[in-house]
Amino acid sequence: MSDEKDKKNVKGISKTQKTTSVSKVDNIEEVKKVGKTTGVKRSGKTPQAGDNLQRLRYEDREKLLGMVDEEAKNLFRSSKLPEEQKRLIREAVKMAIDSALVEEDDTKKTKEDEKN
Amino acid sequence: MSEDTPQDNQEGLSIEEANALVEEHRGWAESIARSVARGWNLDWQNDGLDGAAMEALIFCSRRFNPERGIPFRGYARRRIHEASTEAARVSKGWTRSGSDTQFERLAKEVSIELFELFPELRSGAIPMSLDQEEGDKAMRASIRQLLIGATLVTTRQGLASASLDDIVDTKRMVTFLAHLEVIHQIIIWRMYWHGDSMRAIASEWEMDELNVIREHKALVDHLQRAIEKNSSFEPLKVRPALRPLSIEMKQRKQAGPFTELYAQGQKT
Repeated sequence: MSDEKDKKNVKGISKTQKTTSVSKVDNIEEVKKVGKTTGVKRSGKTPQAGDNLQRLRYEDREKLLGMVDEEAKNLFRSSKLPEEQKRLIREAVKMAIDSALVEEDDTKKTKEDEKN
Repeated sequence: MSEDTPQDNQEGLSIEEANALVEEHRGWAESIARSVARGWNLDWQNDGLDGAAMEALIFCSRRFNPERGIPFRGYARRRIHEASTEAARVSKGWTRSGSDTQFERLAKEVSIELFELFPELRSGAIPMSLDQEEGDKAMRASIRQLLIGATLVTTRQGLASASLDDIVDTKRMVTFLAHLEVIHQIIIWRMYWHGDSMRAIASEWEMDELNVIREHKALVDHLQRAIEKNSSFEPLKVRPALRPLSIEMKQRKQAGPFTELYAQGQKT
């Protein structure tokens, strides 16, 4: 019974699709010669957290404090921050820089520095 | 002076050698104390900065180990500066009565926070900006970073004050910060509001400190442009090193601290 039923479900074999001819292989380009190899460069120093620093010099004190005034003026030119706050910011930065400038750092070389 | 250093727990110099170091560097240590006093308009001797500097110098001489390869001044400078600023802070001169004192005291407080935010200042250096500039241009860019740092500190102070005027003035800045990427808000919040170091943030995020340093510098540059133009830009894009963490925060729907602060302000 079941075979008959299966046979009924078999439909005719459909026609094969039209095949297309295989396209010709294109000309193979000549393999380029291997170029001359160069030596591997030495790897650079890995940047450290303290690398991006600039030394402050006491002899530049006036110039540095002047720069703070100029940069604050440029920075806050269009800012709506209150004038008092702007002045406070400027003075605080000047104080921090001034407190970081040590006269003797530049003027006296120690025995240790000479050794190094 | 509690901070552990690479010099600690090592065999140091003999007491005679350490004393010789103190003798040699005494003038230099006093010079640091004088610098701190000059910056804050204090008397380096009457306000006790000289004693603090000497104490720190002696402390460092006892702990110094030349075999570590770090020059003594490089090792001791930050500690002597720190000791001098601590002495300054508790001195009578810090809260001296007179004209303009309230303003001066506030400026001192902001500048002391700058030392925490930019600790390289204690070593006589200034952080460079991301731009590969040199000379005066680089110095100016670094100064702008300090100005932005101080702007954020005073914004926090303005928020903490009860004055309605101050709150209105600082609200603009908070609005700008609230529109930054969450990870950027967290960096600013933790550094400028909680006093966390970039190293601590990087350690918690399990990444190299340099990634946080670079992100912070980019952020400061972005804030600088916004202040200069008095306008808010598109939020700064997160740099590749922090991007996975930033995406994770977004997926967790983590709110930025300034966004929350802004929302609270809108409710009140």
